[in-house]
Amino acid sequence: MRLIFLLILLSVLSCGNSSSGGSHSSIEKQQEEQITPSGDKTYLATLRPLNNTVSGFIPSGQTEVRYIGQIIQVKTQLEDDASVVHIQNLHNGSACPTMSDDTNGDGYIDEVEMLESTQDILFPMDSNLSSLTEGNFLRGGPFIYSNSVKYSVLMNELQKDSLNLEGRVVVVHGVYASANLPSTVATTNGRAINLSLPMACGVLHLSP
Amino acid sequence: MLKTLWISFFFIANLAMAEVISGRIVDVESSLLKLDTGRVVFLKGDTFKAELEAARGATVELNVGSTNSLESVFKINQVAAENFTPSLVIAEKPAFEPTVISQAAAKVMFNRLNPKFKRISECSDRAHVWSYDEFKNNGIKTQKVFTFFTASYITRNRFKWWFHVAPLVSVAESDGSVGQRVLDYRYTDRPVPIKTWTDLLVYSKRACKMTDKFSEYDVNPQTEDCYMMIDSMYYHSPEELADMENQIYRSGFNDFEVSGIRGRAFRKGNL
Repeated sequence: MRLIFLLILLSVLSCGNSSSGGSHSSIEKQQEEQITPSGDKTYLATLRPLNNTVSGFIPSGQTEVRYIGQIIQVKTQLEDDASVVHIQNLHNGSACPTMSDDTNGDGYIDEVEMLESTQDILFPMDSNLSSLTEGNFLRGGPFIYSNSVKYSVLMNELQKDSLNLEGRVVVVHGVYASANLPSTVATTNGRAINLSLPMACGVLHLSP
Repeated sequence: MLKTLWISFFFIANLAMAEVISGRIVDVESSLLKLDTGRVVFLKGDTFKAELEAARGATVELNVGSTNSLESVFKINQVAAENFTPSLVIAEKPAFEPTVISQAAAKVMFNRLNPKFKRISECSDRAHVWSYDEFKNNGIKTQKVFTFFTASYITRNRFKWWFHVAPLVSVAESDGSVGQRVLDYRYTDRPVPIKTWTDLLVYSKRACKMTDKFSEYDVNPQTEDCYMMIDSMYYHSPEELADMENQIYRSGFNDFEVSGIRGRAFRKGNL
């Protein structure tokens, strides 16, 4: 399976090269070489349940971020039973929220309360990792997500020279529409509250 | 003009909501089917009930709908699932003393548990490998804590499991007493007290009734939400706990069995 993935990746890579016509200037090449990850490595986050009392299912999953040469590959595998759009983002913070973040005491850690621990979004883990603008997210109960982006492209978009993923936080959102959430559950961007409610969270750590 | 060379590869596998699950039939109750994997499936009336009762002990493949109700039976394999012959079964309950470690050591232990479990893996398999590894690599004897959910709790909450299990480590409390912490790496981010662990699973936050007889749960009184059993790290499944009432006890790990369980529950490489 991994071999198939790498072959497809190489084929996309070669397409990308040919689309550029092989006419990169030496300046562009130098710029790319300056922004490179420091060796292949893998970060792993175990996604653990948040707000799991909204259904009879306890969601969980894993996110893996790999630096492979010039490529950053992001994968998530999630177990859930709510067939909704699952928004997933990587955040700047270093911890997942706990019930102590439920500042309004309604029994739920909503998107606004969550940000106290997770801080702002670093980038959405969506259909287009090369843009910080939200693309499409996965719909489904259990899902497998895989996407990749060139390191220099992401750094350019983030306006950073390097990216240390150790301790960064992955949050997945989205519970049943029938979850009967109270009006005290807040959202940051006008989404339906069931889609914005955090349902799983994990902290990335370097994998041995 | 191409500002930078970029490559994006995107692949989504959105798994269908109609789920195919498999397992060995442990019990068929009035509206519930229990599998050895811990999963429950809701039965729609008496449809398939006689067929499933006749297949008790056999492995089945089931098509389950989005409400966790049985839609159809794909396959019944009348040959019971392979049972490893435990090499360390004895007829007299052996003494077992869990190792007592510091709370700091429990956190270190938690963080070295193998995190590379498969997306679809059973709690009993994960718990067994984690306990085995700690014993073999660090000489720490843990216990297992099993929680059994009653039919009334399962039905009321449309809960998807009838039992859950995790390793349990004994810790020295600051007041000099010996406490216990659950090591459930998949669902918690640190060692937690038993009540914190069950609160994650039992939405009513009611404490689970402690018992040392599986049959007390199995007769399934509707007055409780859940039952709990604690025993040595050598017990892998509820059926092994039930065996104790027939004077069949576990007193060690079966390396061959653990090897098979590890292959089922853990991956060697990346996602």
